[in-house]
Amino acid sequence: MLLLPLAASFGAPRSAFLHRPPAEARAGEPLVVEGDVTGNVAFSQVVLKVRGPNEDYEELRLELQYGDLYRVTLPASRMTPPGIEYCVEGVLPSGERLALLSTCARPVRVKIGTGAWAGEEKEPAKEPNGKKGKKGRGEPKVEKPPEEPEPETAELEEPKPGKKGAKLEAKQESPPEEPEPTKPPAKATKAEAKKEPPAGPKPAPPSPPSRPRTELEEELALYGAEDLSGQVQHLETRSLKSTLAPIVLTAEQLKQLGVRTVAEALDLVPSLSVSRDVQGFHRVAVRGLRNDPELLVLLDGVRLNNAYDGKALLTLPVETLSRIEVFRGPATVDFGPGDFLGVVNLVTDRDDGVRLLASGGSWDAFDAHLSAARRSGAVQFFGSGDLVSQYGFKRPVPRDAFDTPTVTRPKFTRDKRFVVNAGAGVAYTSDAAGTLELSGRYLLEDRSALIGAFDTVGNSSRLQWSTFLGALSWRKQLSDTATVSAQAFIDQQSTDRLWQLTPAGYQVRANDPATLFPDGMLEEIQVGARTLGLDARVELTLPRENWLEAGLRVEEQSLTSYAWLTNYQVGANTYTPTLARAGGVVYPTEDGSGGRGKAADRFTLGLFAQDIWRPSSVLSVQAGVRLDLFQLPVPDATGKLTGSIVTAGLGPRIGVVLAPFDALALRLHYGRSVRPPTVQELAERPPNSDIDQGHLIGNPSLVPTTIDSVQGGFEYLQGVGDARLRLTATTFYERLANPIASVDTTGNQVPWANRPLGVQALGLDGEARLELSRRANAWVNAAWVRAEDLGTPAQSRLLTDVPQVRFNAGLTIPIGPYLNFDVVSRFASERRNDSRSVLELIRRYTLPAYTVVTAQLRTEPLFDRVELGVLGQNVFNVEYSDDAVRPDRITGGVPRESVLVFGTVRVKL
Amino acid sequence: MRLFAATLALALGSSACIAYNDPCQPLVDNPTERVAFVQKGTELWLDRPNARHANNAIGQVAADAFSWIFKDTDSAVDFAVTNGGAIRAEGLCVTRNIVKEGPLANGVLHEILLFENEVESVDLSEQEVHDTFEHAVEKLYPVGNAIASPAGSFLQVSSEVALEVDCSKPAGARVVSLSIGGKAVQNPGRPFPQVKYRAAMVSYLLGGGDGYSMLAGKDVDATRSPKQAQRFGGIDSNITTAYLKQSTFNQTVEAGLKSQPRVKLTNCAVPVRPAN
Repeated sequence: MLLLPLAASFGAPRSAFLHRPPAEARAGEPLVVEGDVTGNVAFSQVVLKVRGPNEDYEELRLELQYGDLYRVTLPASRMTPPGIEYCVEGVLPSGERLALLSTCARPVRVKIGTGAWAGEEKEPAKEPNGKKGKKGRGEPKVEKPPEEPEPETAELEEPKPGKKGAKLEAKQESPPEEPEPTKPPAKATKAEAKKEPPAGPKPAPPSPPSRPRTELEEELALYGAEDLSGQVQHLETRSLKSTLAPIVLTAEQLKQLGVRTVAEALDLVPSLSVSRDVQGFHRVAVRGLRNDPELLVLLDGVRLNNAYDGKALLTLPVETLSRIEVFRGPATVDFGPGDFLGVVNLVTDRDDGVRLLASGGSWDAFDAHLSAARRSGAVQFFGSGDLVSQYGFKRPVPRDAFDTPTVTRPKFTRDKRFVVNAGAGVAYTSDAAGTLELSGRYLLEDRSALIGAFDTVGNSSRLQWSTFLGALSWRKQLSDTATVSAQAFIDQQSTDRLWQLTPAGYQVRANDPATLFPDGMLEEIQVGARTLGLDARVELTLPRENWLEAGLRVEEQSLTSYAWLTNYQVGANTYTPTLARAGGVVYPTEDGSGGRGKAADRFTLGLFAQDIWRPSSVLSVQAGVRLDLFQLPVPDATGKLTGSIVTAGLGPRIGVVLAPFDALALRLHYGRSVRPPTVQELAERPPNSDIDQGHLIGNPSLVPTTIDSVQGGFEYLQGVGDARLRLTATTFYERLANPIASVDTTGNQVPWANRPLGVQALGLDGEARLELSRRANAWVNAAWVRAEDLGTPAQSRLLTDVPQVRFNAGLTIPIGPYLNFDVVSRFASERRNDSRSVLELIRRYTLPAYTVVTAQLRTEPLFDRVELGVLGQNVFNVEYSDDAVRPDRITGGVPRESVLVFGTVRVKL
Repeated sequence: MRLFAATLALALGSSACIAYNDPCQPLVDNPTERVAFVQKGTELWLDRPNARHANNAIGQVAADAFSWIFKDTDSAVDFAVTNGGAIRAEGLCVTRNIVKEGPLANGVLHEILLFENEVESVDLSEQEVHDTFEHAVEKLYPVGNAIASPAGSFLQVSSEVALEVDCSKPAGARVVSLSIGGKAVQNPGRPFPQVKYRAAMVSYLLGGGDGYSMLAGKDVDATRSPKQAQRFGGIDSNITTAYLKQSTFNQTVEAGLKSQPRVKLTNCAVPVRPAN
């Protein structure tokens, strides 16, 4: 969706809904209406208006399936003789509507049963190619309702002289099925008029096959694709023109995939692998590399990554999202800062109406979701909320640091979780003011640690994470060629993580009662982090098919609070009844001399500009540059942070997309991005006690890391009978300079460090998706990656802690008229320990390859409003694990979810 | 099920794309070269209880090597130590709890001392020396207890050190006697720099590793005259190799390595011979 505004600049063809209406339909059976939305206009939603004879229109929203394919099912109750009429409109963010399929004054008509429309036999229908044809199956039979006025051009977007959309408009307003001659478009150019097939009953001569068709003719041919096979074989406009197309998971796809959280959804994206660590955090590896702060996660455009440690809340439910977009590698320059290994953009559902979902299942899981929006004149109110509660799966943890070779105690995972996500907003749109929007969102996660803090099961650990996101944004189109927008935002996050480091009743020294810990040794880390920022940008349509976007972003990140508390005296390991500040710990908010810590605040100024140039109809070039100026603390000779400097990060991006024909897009893209160290990586100084061996510690000497990414690939669409087969493939090479990593070299506290000589990853991924019908599709995707740390000896370079091969596949098939069956399989190859240090080398582990299957049975909408479903995750109860930071102590790895079953009810009001 | 079968087929076919590091690659160029003998009739025991809860021959010769490397420099040391956690049985490909009598290969030694830490020397106060050894023995298990999880902080000491420990006493008061170079170390110690001891050890300990907070930062404190070992890369395993090769341990199997009772452990649990 973020790229849609970009696409709008191409000055390209008008928007249209490419769809072939059926000649007739059966009474009492739902009718699927689907088609691709082409053109460059960013619609907030696409709606279908349908009516029976002498009825008012009812409006239904088309759901985005994938790419630009939209779909809606006309309910059985609507399908009554003698027929229905419908039109499709796109709704702009301003509320204005553009006709995409016919007009509602002259809608498409579909006959139902044996009933006859008034005047039905008066005129024979014309074939799409202009020939007169017989009425019959396979040929849409649409007539202008006599009672309706002539459509007015004013209803549609005004064509620009010389723009290639003018002709299409004429075609739209007088679709090929229309028996009446078309009134020539008032503003069509002379040249275009020459291309216009002659109006009237006389058949138009077919174009000579040898003459290459103009782009306009191509579009017309596409629109007239009701010909021949009836299949539209072209990629979406965005795919044909974007040098860096994201992978998009729509709400419909998310439903079919049987995923419940963002993390689960991301695990199905090619080249992404999601694992869980001992603390229970979901960690996303992108192209074989995994580092939390290097995956930028946005929620409605506002960054979710915590300013302290870069982590983002990935347990958000997907039920109130309209889509998830994923970029792998640095994205376009308008993202960032922070778009490093990839970008995940979560878009909440703001479609009009009310949608409810409730589900319950294994391990006391219960969740409820609501999303709603309503437009009243120029004002739109929207909101969504999630409530999730679960006890969580329970699997044995074979060993931890407090087991001995001969004595173990029973231990289990604990995945208890409570999540609240509530957001609301209001948008006001007027011609004078543009669009003004105010929104806010509150997120809360209160959970246990899956295993514990580090190397020991601590089921009494409690991790709380609350986030408030607020944004005030404004967007206004100043002219046909200029749009400005601005956004002020705030992100306030508070984490309070209480870790149980040892079992309850643990006594450090056998004959020293002062070292007895009835509740275990505890550590509590409280961090408040806030980001305040302003983002402003301008979009300009320039001559010679150029579109320019430029902007700036300023933000101030601050630690608002910090505390590191323990119930033991560091060093003496004696018990203190209350949690108190750990001795010897210097907080990042302090400089050790009574002043403010130099790492506690960071000011960032980002500037970017990018131009998209389309020198021909088959070629687009996108070039941009991003300059970020970061405030970074600097250490003195002793490693103490004593000052700060401004560091510049330059991120050029350039890409090209070649679309030799409309079913194929070839892409090549290069991007560089820079990431400064997080506050945690720079300045976290945990206590150095016996029990804290293995903690990561900050390194004041860290320098920013840089990624250079080159990727090339293709996207191809092929019609196969009535089906559509989409193939995509991408190959990539990424090189990180000064990557920031924690490599255990001592067994003691582990400092983050810039890896010498860098890290590289190369690989490829691809996906094939066969869309058989609205209710039937099959897809597979696969990814292979080879990641290497170049700072280690040749025999130890491979980074193998994330799968090198991933393979996902899914199938959705209908079972009778009311049931659907979805099955999804995830395969990950075997993982082994890295070998960057001797400790990693000798802490050997092997995590076997696994295949996990999700299956789902769900109904079609019952009574047009209710859907029921039963979802089974890991239905074969496969035991699989992820890597633990101390595999020598947590020897079985981090156990993953067992079989989980959920029942779901969806209601659309 | 067809889809599932296809998944498996692709998974199997993908195995050619997957590669892993070779964990058995030797750490040195001459892994089979003999550096010493293990004394006839004895064995080296490398399991955790024997490395961290008892005198250990490898730890002792490593400490001797650290002392040796500074011997002819302007910063000769009074004693040297290494932590028991630095002695590893895991090996690269096989776990080696026991090294039998006979030749000790360079590759094996580097797998036993595989952290490749730098060796440094610093000045310590008398109190710091005492506290260091109290910390070294505070987690030893009293007799009658299983040595469940021995701490890596137990120190193996060089020949200059004579230490007597009583595990029946509380932590912090277990050192019965301590002498370095034949001179008793007092507790409380006399002020620094009036009395100071120069010690050699790995950088890990001087970074505060294993809870040695009394040693932390001494390697960046100019008043402690920190020095790094210069020869053999300054690396603990290389220095130990060089020391052993020129020592009598490398002459005959009868004169080979054997642990010495430098730390006298009283009322402490005693580890047994491990299984290999």
